[in-house]
Order: sequence, then C-alpha cells, then structure tokens
Amino acid sequence: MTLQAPRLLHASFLLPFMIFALLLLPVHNESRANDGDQPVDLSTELKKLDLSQLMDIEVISVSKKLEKLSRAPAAIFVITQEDIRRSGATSLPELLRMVPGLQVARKGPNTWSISTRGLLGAREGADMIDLRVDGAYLPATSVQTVDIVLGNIERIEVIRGPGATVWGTKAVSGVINIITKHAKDTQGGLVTAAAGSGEEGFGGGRYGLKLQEGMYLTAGAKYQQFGAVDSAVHLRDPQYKQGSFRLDWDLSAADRLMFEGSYTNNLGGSFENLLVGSFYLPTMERYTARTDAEALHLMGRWEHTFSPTSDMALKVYYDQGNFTYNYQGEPVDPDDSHNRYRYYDIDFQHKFNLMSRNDIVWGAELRIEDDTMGGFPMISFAPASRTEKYYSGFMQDEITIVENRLSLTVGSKFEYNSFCHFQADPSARLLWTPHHQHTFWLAVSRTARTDLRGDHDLNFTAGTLPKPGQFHILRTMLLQARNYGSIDPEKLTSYEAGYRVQPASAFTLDITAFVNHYDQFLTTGDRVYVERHPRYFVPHYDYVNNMDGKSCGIEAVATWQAAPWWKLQSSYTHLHFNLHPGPHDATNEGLKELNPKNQCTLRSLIDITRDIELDANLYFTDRISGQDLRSYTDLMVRLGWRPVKGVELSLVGANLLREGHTELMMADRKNEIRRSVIGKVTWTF
Amino acid sequence: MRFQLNTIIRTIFLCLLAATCSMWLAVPVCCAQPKAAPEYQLKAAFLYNLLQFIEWPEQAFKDAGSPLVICIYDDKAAGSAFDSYRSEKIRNRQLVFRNYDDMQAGLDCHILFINTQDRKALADISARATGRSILTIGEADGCARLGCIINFFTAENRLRFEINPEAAKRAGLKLSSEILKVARIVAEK
Repeated sequence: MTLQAPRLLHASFLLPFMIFALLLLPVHNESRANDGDQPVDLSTELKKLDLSQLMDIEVISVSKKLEKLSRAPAAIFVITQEDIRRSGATSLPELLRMVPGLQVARKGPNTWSISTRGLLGAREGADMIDLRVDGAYLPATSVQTVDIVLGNIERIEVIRGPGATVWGTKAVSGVINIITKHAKDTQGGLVTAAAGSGEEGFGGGRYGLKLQEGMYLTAGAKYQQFGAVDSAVHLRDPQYKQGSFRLDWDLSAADRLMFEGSYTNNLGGSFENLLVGSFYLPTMERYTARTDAEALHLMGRWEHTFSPTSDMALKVYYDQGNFTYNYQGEPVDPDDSHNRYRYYDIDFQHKFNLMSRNDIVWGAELRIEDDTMGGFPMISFAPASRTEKYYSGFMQDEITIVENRLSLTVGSKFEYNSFCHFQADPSARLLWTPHHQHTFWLAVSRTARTDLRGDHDLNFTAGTLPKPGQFHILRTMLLQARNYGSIDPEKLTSYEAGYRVQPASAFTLDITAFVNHYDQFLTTGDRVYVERHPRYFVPHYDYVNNMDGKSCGIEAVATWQAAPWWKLQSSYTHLHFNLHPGPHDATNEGLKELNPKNQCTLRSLIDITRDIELDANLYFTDRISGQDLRSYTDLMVRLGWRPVKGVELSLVGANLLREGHTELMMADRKNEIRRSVIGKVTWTF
Repeated sequence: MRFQLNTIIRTIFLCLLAATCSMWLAVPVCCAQPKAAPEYQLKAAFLYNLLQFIEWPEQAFKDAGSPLVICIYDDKAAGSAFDSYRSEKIRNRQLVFRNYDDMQAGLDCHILFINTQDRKALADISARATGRSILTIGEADGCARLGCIINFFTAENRLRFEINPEAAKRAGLKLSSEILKVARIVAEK
C-alpha cells in the first residue's frame, strides 16, 4: 500500500485533480459567504415565474424514493436519468464507471469485465454480481447483452457488498439493479443516432402510446456497431441488435400489471472468461474466439397494494439464449459448439408492517435452470445438459428502535438446491441517524455462492489445442481438473461500515469501508492420477474448497452542487486484495494482481446556458500488475446542445488523454482502447 | 523527472480546460430564468403558484383577516425552501407556516403538504384530513389515487402534478380550470 504513494504523486495523475481542486476554492468561499444551504435569490427568482415556466425547470436532487435508498444501511450508489443522459456513455458498462467501488474494464470492442471489491477479470459477472432488470435476474452473459436503450432507464441502483437479504439469490459481491421507466413515462417517440471516429455508431428509437385509460405500451429497437479497439483477434464487425417492449396496465389504484420483453443479438463479443467464471487462465491464447450470442427475455409482473403499509409483487419470467464460439468464422468445435439455456423463474414478495415498529419483507422464489453446455474452449461439462431447481426464500425485518434515529435490520436468505442442499445467509445491519444530516451504518453479512453448476460439473483442461490449419502431431495437455468428490458453496463474510453526511443541502459525502473474508473458495487440490498416453501424459487434479482470502478497501464519493448550473462529483476507491490458492492452481494464481489498487473519478457537469452543457469525466485507474498493465488517466468530454425543443445534439470525446491504452487483457491479448469522438443526435417528439 | 511529450500535451489541454472553467466562474451564468432548482425550492414555488388558483369555502376561515395556514409534514426535509414565502399574501390572507405536530395539536391547517413516501403516514394523515377543507398535497407515487388532492411527480426531470378532482370536491375546494388544464387528472377508481 505504501508503495503506491509515490505513484499517486506522479504529475500526470495529480495535475488534473489539482487544477480541479484549485477551481473549487473560490466558489466554495462564495457559497460560504452566501450563508445558508441554498442561494436565497433562487427562491426569489422562482417566485416570479408562472406555472408553465416552472414546469420547464429541471429538478435538482433525488426523489424521495432515492433519498430513502440513500439512507439504506448498505453501500448504495444510484445512477439517475440525468447521470445517464450526461455521461456520454453508449453502453451500460461504460455508464457504470462512475460508480465507486466498482471495477470496470473494457477488454474488447464489446466485452467488459465488471466486478465489485475485487476479483476483476475472474469471478465477475457469472457468479458474483447479480444483474437485475426490473427485479428479474438476468443470466451472466447479459452483462454484455443487456444493453438497454439508455433513455429507457429510470435509474440504476448499484449495491456493493453481499446484497442485503432482499436482493437476489446470486448477490455475492454486489447487485446492479436496473429499473426501467413506466411506459407512461416513455410516451411519444424518440429517435437517436450516433456515429464515431472509428467504426462505432448506433441508431435506435422507441415509441410509446396509450392503448386505453391506464394502459400504456412502449416498443423500441437499437442497433450498435463497435469500434475504437485495436483487436489482434479476428472479431469482424462486432455488432449488437436489440428489440424490446414494455406494457404497463394500471388496473386500479391497487393493482398494476407489467409485461416486458426483449430480444438481443450480440455478434462478435468474446466473453468466455465471464462464462467460465473462476477459470481465468493467462495462457488462453488459442481460445480467443468470436462469440455470437442471442437472448430472449420475457417477464410479467403483478403488483398489488393491500393497504397503505402492505403490498406484494409476483413476477414470472423466462429467459432463453444460445451462444456459439467461432474461430475465424468456424465453430471452435463443430460437433458441439452450441451452448444454450432456458431459465424459468417465479418470484413472490410481500411487504407489511407489524406493530408499527417492524417493517417486514419476505419472499420466495423458484428458479429452474435448464442448460446444455457444449463448446466452450478448454471446458466441458459432465453432464452437458442439466435441469436444476433452485429454491430460495428470505425474510427481513427492519426494526425501528428509536423513531427516525436508530433501526436494526436483520434477515436471512435460505436456499436449497442439489449442489448446496440447505444454505442460510444471514445478515444484520444497524442504521444510526443522530442528526438528519449524518447517517452511520454498520453491517455484517455472510453469503454463499450456491449456483454451482459451473463448478460441480466442470471438467477443466488447461492446455493447448492446434490452431486451425496448423499441423500438430502432439496435442499436449498441461493438466485437467475436475470435481471428484463433493464441493461446497464458496463463502464470503463481509464487515462493512458507512458514513453519510450532508453538511449543506448542496453537498453530500458518502464513505464506506469494508473487510471481506473469503472462505472455501474453489482451487485446484491434489493430483488424483496421471493419464498416460504413448506420446504425452495428463495429470488430473481434484477441485477442492481450499482457498481463502481477504480483501479490504475504502470507497468514497462526494457530490457537490457548486452552483445551480454546476455539479461536481468525485469518487475514490482503494482496494487491497489477497487470495491464497492451492499449490497446483493454474487459474486463480495471480487473481490478486488483477485489481487496480486505486481508482479515482471526477465528474463535472456544467450548464453553460440553458441549452448548452459541458460535461467532463476524468478517470484514473491504477496499474494491474498481474498483467503488466500501466495505470491510466482518461478524460471523457461531452458537449450537449439543444437547439430547439425536442432535439439534442451532443459530441463526446472519449479517451482523450492518450492515443490508446489497455484496460484488461482479453484472453492474452492486450486490446488497445483508442481515442474516439462520437457525435449523437436525439430527437423526441 | 523527465516529462514525456504526451504529458506535456495533456498538461496544456487541462490548463486550457481549467482556464475555460475559471472564466465561467468569473462570469455568472447569463440567463435570468433559472434552468434547474433544488426539489423543495421548486415545489415551494409550485405550491405558491397553485394557491392563486384555489378557492376555499368561506367557513374554512374564522374571518376575513385570518391567515392561510400551510402545514408541512416533514419540515426538516423541506428545509428553508419556504422561507421566502413567509411574508407573502394570497388573496389578502397572510401565509402562515406550521408543522404537522401543530395540526395534530388541533390547530387549523388549510394546506397540508405531506412530503413523505411513507404510505402508513400518508394513510394516517389523509384520513385525518378527510371531511375538512384541507388541500392535501403529496409527493408519493399513487398519492392522488389514495385521496390526496394534488400530487407532485417528476417526468423527464421536470416537476409535474396530478389532481384528484373528486377529492377536491369532497373538501369543498374550487380549483380553477387554469391548473386543471396543465395537471394530469386522476380518478380514484
């Protein structure tokens, strides 16, 4: 940790932050001089306006719903619509860069790694982060494919740490919860098109209409092409297509129905690392294959309000998808290159108040996963097809100890499936609000990763395969590992503490510290036997719960509305990660070296005039020693202009400080993320 | 330390950026009309505006000189947003601000701003207000359907409001067509 200090002082990193810091000084004094939370003259200004003028003014600050979230005893960060619009991001992972405590690395044209609190490039996605859209869990591959038309997102809640009981069965290291807009809020049309300096560009649109009183429908489509990455691999024309709809039917004040669905087609990503989760191997050179994936998602939800303090929601959803790996246009293994899945999920939640002091939420979920896993490079499944039922339930009680001051939330999740049998994940969270501007919280939670299909049935081969067209006599295998006995869920115990302060209505600071203990993580154990062939031999290893580790870190984010026209947000993430794999572990060795120790962001959102916005995002990410990647500081600048009502033009320059840089290796390729400029037009009518 | 070319270019760029930013700092932003405002300041302005279009029955006031009383449920959350309206008058009636505790203590309220998302509190309060000439104003999803007369919501980052005319009628309040035109009308069932 101490070794990092001189690096931080490096001019290239420090300078931009110093300049911004200098900028802050005079304004801060000014606002002090103003004495009080809000400039008084704004109120006077507002008083002069009539209703129609008032209706044209943007609301600063978060809604009550968000405010309630921000008072939750957990490390929560909310990305609002305004954040999305002004981020300049064209895809979901890019948008997530602003979240403290999240590691986002672009590995290829449309391939990203996302993790919270460590394990970047390894156990992200598949097992650890629980990605949900409107409460529906989406399969791991979706981190790449769930690229919702960003304009349809109401907000994104990112919860770091083991998701409190209520959030998802798969929430081991974090939850990303995307809430899309009610169809009545996306009425009318929206067309957006963008083109960039590379091959990248996208076009999309949506149209919403009212079918009858209380019934609204919105449908949309998006097409995106990716560029700005120097890829050594033949990922020709990476592109992404999506069509989606949402139907909202408000039957009465008490009953609301919602149906939504989407079809996505993502050609030319390459996310085998995501899919194999724990099995990251630095020497996967030959397996960088073009991935073609398609996915279908359908969901129905019924919400019912029994009384003002009691409501329920029932969700039923279905996902299906398939993906193939192609090497230079040919499937990796033509006989069995098809991987497909079908997931069925039914989920019930009920919230009620008991004796006024207890806010209780409980729920139950049944999830059926039916999949056939065939052609993964280096990986096979036995059995290749499996249908597994996951039962889970949870109960949580938020107990008010002192009204508006002190509350305790205790709860547990209970899971049952044939891999882990019975598993309980308890958590306790204490929230103390001594003053309405100060909030402290403490949390202890234990969680387990019980979705073990990818480990239990896995047969992992670390070795080389002949390149197509290349003559090979030897087909050398380095080692094979699989599960010979039984394996247990990987466990995580997390201790978290947080403090939020709002010294003035325009300034908030949110700090979280955590210590994570990883137990019984899977690693390669002893050699079971050696398979001898005339020309080579293959040692077989057992796969055991024998790895432990520890990580700790600090995440801080400060938001300051410096002036009605200027918002600043800065975040800092420090992460220290240590994992102790077994002696024969070829996959997890080096994991600890894959996490940037320090990350900083600085965002500045300026309204130059009512119709012109200038936004800048500055990111610093520390070096990744495990892959010999240098630290990088990057700047993204967005200039937005609304020449007439309903039309928005924007120009976004990304990666402006460098010609190119590598964020994380994809397989063993260092793909360069290049400087790019994108122009975008959005028309709403 | 030897600076590399790209470090120098970057430095120049950032200095330019900083200089540009400083210029904006020095020159206050042009427009007379604000573009954005904190939530409660905006709500206060809306509320003040809406009051011009709402008529209370005569019996709601003791006499012609009695004030128009606004009770705020969570005055901490509202902060100082209403401060600049304390000296204002609506139709010759002085505006007076109280908090909800005062209303519970039996004092009069003509306007009740229920700024909470807590549905339990919401139900409690609106039950307390029914049958009296109280203009209930909420900001929770579904509040108007539950009986609030006016309910704030946001759409496309702008503040909007919905009106439940039946509830207004029950309370004996007369709402001008001016505001009904710009509001979203909500039916109870």
